[in-house]
Amino acid sequence: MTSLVSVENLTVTFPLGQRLFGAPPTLRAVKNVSLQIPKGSFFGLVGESGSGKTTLGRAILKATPIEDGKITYDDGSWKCSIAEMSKAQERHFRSQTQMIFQDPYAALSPRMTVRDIIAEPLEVLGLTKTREETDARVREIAGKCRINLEHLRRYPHAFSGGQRQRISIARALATGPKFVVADECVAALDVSIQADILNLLKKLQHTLDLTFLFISHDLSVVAHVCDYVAVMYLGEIVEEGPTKQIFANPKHSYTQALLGAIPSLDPDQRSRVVR
Amino acid sequence: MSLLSVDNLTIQFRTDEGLITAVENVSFDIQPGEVLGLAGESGSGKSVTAKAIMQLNGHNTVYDPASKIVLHGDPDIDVFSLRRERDMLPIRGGAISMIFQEPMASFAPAITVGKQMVEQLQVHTTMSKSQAKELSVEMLDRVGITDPGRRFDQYVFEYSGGMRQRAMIAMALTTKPRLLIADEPTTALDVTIQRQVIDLMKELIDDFGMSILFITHDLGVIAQTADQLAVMYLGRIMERGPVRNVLRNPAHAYTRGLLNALPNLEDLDAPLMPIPGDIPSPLERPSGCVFHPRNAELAPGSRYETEVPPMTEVGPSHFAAVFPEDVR
Amino acid sequence: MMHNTSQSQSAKEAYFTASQHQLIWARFKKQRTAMIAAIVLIVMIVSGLMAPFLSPYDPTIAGRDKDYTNGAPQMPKFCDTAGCAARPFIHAVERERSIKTNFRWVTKINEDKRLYLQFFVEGSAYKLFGVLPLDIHLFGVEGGKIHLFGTDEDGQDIFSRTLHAIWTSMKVGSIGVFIAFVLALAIGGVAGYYGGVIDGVLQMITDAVRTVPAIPLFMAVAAFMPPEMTAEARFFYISLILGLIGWPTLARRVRTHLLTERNQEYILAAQLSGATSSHVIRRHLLPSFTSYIIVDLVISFPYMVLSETALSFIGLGLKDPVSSLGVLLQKATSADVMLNYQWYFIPVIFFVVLVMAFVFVGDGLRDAADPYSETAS
Repeated sequence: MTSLVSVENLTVTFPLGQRLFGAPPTLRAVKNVSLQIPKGSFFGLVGESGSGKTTLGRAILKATPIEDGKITYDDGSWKCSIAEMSKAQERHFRSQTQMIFQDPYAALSPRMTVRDIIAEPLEVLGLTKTREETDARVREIAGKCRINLEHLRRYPHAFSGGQRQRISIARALATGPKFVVADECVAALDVSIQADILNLLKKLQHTLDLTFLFISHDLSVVAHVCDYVAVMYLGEIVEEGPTKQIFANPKHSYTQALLGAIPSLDPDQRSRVVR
Repeated sequence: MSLLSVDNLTIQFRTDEGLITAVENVSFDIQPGEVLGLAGESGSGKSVTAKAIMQLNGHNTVYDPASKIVLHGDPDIDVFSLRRERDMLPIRGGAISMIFQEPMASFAPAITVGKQMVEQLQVHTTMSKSQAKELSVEMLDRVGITDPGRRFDQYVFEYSGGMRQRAMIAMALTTKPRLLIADEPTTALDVTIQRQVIDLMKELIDDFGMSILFITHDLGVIAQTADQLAVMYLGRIMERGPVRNVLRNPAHAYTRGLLNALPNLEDLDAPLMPIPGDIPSPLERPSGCVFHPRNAELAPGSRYETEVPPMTEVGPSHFAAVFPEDVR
Repeated sequence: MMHNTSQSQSAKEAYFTASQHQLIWARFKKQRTAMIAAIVLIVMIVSGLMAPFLSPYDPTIAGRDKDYTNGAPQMPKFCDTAGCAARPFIHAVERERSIKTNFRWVTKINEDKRLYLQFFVEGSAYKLFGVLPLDIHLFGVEGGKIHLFGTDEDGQDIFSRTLHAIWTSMKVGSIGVFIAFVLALAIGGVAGYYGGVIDGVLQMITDAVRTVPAIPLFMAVAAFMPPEMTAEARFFYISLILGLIGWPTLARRVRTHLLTERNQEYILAAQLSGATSSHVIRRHLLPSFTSYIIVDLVISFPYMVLSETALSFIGLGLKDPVSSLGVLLQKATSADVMLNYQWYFIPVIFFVVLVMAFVFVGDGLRDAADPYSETAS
């Protein structure tokens, strides 16, 4: 299985505070992490707060400066090293990779119509030449995300959390990317809506041939949608492998603790049993 | 004799867009020493209900005159009859305590944790300052905070997330309330910390014997902590009963839908089953049974579209908002 | 519960498709005080704009009424002892000096002579909006002069002077606010967008400028301005100085707003789509500003107007022949005036109303804009 994204010995640090003279103390959010994301997979990245999973996702998309290590993107026909991209390479990279965010309320500009929000990546990257072409593409992707075409004229304040998340997804897919980082994208949604969005993501993965990096703290969700899982703790990957294997037979004590902490829906059982 | 009875609670809010109904005809009882879980998604009205018990809703709240909340005891206190703020004081923090989702928002950031706990005790009891301090340190220890004497003098930002929640529980229990209202206390916590806090609360229930009104959207958490479960949707109670009965034999389509939407760890290949549609905005309340537009089991033109179903008994102490002919 | 009539459906659709500005305007319209204040404000601005047309006489020395100095206000009436008329009129005044009055000019009202009010009379020439040469005035009186608010010691009509003063103060305020705004946007914008060391340095500069005390600065400037400087040049310099002092507060607001907006997720989403800084600034950051900036501008306006008033009042700002509130009030500082010629203070009422109108409109705008900030609904 070829890797779409290859992470080698990645370290990301953040400065804590500012100093006028000298370097401020740093926080190592990601410590010497190596990871292979297979092409076409739904790859789960699981961890609690402070684990560094969001930082890792952002580093892969070059949204955070990297201190050390190498990230390679290779979709079979185009390859580059993310830390050393040229401007032209970065433009192509941006059209091939996207992110979906956690907070459906903060991720959409309140001043733009839905149509403009979805069209923005197309216009920024200059991927469409005329307004009609852009409109056609917007309608196509909105349809795939089950957004009512009449709603394209509306502003974000007209929509619920779940609907906004679908708009975020449509925006992410407008340029036809191959790799999408979903950063806790169902965490802020109600349970009955979460399932809907997750089903949508899986369907889109099949129809559009996408690779997902699914970042989440919710193990039960990850267990259902992801093929592979990597568990992070305090900036390091403590265990990784195919989902069923990890959940049936967790080897690392942290993974075991995480699984044991999921409350069971059966009042007579303490934790959920994975079979 | 129940500890708290809520009868026909109807709450509306005056907004720029009109009068919106947040809670409609909600009735339930909490027995002494019992944990009632109030489950629901956004817009269900569960937080509004809890805040109504403590009269913490804002000035634009309109309570229906038929609503009644009574705290039973010696004497019985009708919460809505207490017009003045200071009449609510002995109840808030005294007979009823409340803990919230964001502990950072509950503690004053510029006053030490200990000082706040002592202040609360001084308001509600006749303890001296040193007695209050002793009890507070004891409570911090009881909730599992290590080195409580030193922590007593620290500020809340020096605590970690889980510790803050424990401190909030400690503060809520120092006055030995008869009812503890917990509004999404574990939602903001990591799952491992959540487990610890749930275990802690179960221990404290055994020790203190207080009742808890546990509000959350997480059915797993309720399964582990509650004796009784009430499921709310769009301001109405859809189903109510002992937690085992409701979770194992859900009688209402919404409860079934909610349970089906949860990822099932026993069968990782099973598809996820969302509830179709979206939660309607508060301005567009459906008629009849508020859940009917999303109920895939209903045939078009059914009674549920126009009539509000009554709370029908479907099992021992187990009620659901269905018409008697639809009880399975 | 019945719902969803077609009327409420279209109302809802209107709500869903309303842009931020439309929503803010809708909210603003619901506040009665703010709407009334807005109407008052527009009326005053229009009167200021049309001041030369609305005032019967030239407000400078050239248009003075030598025969009616320190004259009391003359209110047109419809009736007097001799009966009522269809048109409003005032009584003529005559001035005489004689041995009886100790050789001082004494003004007497001649109750027998009526001067009827006329509309659209020809009068002194002026240029409307500074370009259109006209000489028609809204009202006047045949065979005499009418002074609605009385006259000052030189015979200048206070009503005319008040209208012109409003306009002058608005002009000075506008220029001052504009200069402050441009500087604030540039400095606050750069500080907020780039952050880091640049922000630190610019903050130090901003704070330094803020500590400069206004009165000594103006005294220094006044000392440097030669007395033979034209009124227009003086006017321009005063506005410039006001703007240069006023920008720090606004710059700080701009910077704070940018620092928070910069970290919003939709900005990151745009950047991850390859948006350049200029795109982000143009398409996202600047529009997110407009409501705040408009509110800030409206609220800073009265401060500029009052600053100019204070300066002119103590003689450091504008001087005759330009009329502004400060200049008008300067003439009112003697005990003689305060005891005998109270009508000198009528312009004060207008200015209080003007400032209050700005404040209410600004508050109303701010209340209307806040709920539609970028946080969750």
